[in-house]
Amino acid sequence: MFENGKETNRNNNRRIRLADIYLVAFFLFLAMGSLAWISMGKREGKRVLISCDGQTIADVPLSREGLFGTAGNGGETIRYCLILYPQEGVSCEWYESKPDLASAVSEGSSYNLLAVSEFGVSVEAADCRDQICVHHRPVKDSTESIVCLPHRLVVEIAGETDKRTPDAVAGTRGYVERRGDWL
Amino acid sequence: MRRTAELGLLLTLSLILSYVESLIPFSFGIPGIKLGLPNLIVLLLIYEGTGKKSAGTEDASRALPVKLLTGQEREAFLVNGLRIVLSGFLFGSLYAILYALAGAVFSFTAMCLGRRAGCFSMMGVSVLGGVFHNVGQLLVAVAVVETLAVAYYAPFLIVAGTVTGALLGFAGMELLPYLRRMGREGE
Repeated sequence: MFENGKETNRNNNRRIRLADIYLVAFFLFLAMGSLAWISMGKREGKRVLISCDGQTIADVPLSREGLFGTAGNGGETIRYCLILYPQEGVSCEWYESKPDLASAVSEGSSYNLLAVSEFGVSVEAADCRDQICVHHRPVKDSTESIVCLPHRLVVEIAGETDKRTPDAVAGTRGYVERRGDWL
Repeated sequence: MRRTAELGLLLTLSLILSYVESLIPFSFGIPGIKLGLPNLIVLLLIYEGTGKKSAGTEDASRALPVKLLTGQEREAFLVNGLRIVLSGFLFGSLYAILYALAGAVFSFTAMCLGRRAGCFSMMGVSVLGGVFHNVGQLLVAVAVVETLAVAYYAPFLIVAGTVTGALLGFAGMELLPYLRRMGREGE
C-alpha cells in the first residue's frame, strides 16, 4: 500500500493482516453466539422485577390484574411506578394514572418514573445525570432489562417460570435500606 | 522539552475529540455505545510515541514509575489518563470518570499486549481496544448494580466495539505517516 524502500518494515503495521481478520471474525462469532444463547432463554415476559443495589423492591405481574385487581376493560392499561430515593433508603409507590412529579417527589430526593403495561416497561422520566434509562427502548421479553446506573436501579423482565426469592418485596409499596450514595 | 510540548499538543487534540464526541448524538437504545474518537490518539501514541525515540532525557512521562511499559506506551498512558480526568471534569462527572477509567484500563492493556504480540496491524489492535473498553465498562456496571441483568448487552457491545475499533484503526493507519512527519520535521 504505502511501500517506499526502508520504510517498508515500519509500515507493516499499516496493512491489514490475517490475524486481524481472524480477530474480527472471532468477536463477531462470539457476539452472535452469546446473542443466540441469550435469545434461547428468552420467553414472553410475565413479571417485572425492580431492584436497587441488588435488593428487590418490587416484583409484580406485567398485566394489570395482579396489582389492582381490575381487568384492563379495554381502556388504558398503563400504570406508573414512582421510585423515590430520599437521603436514606429507597421506596416505590404505584399510581393508576401519571402522577404529578412536582407534588409526588419530595424535596431532596431523586426519582425514576416507570410506565408498566402488559406490553412492556419503560422509564418515563428520571432526574439522573445521563438519562440513558429514559432513552432506553421499552423492554418486554424475559432477560431484557433497563438499568439506571446513577441510581443503581435495575428493571428486569421475568418469565412465568423464573424463580427468584423476593427477599424484600412489599407488594405495591416497598421500602428497603439503601447503601450510602455511590460517589 | 520538545516531547513535552508534543504530548501537550496531543493531549489537547484528544480533549477536543472527547468534546466532539460528546456533541454527537449517537444512540441506538443500548447504553454505552460510542465512537471512542480520543482512542485514536492513544492508538497512535502506542505505535509511535512522538516520533523519534532517541531524545528521551526530558521525557515528561519518565516521571511515571511504570517499569512495565515502553517509552511510547508510557506516553500513551500519561496522555490517556490526563485526558480522561480532564474531560471528565470538563464535560462529565466524577462518576463518568470512573467508568471511563475502567474502560481505559482494559482497553489500554489489551492494546499494548496486542501490539507486542506482533501479529496484528493497527486495525486489529484498535479492535481489541474497542471490545475490551466495552467489556471493562460492562463489568463495572455489573459490579455497581450487583446484578447480571446488564450482561444481556454484551453481544451488542462486542459488535459495537469491533466496528468502531475497526473504523478508528483504519483512520490510525492513514494518520500514522503524518505523525511521523511531525516527528521528523522537528529534528
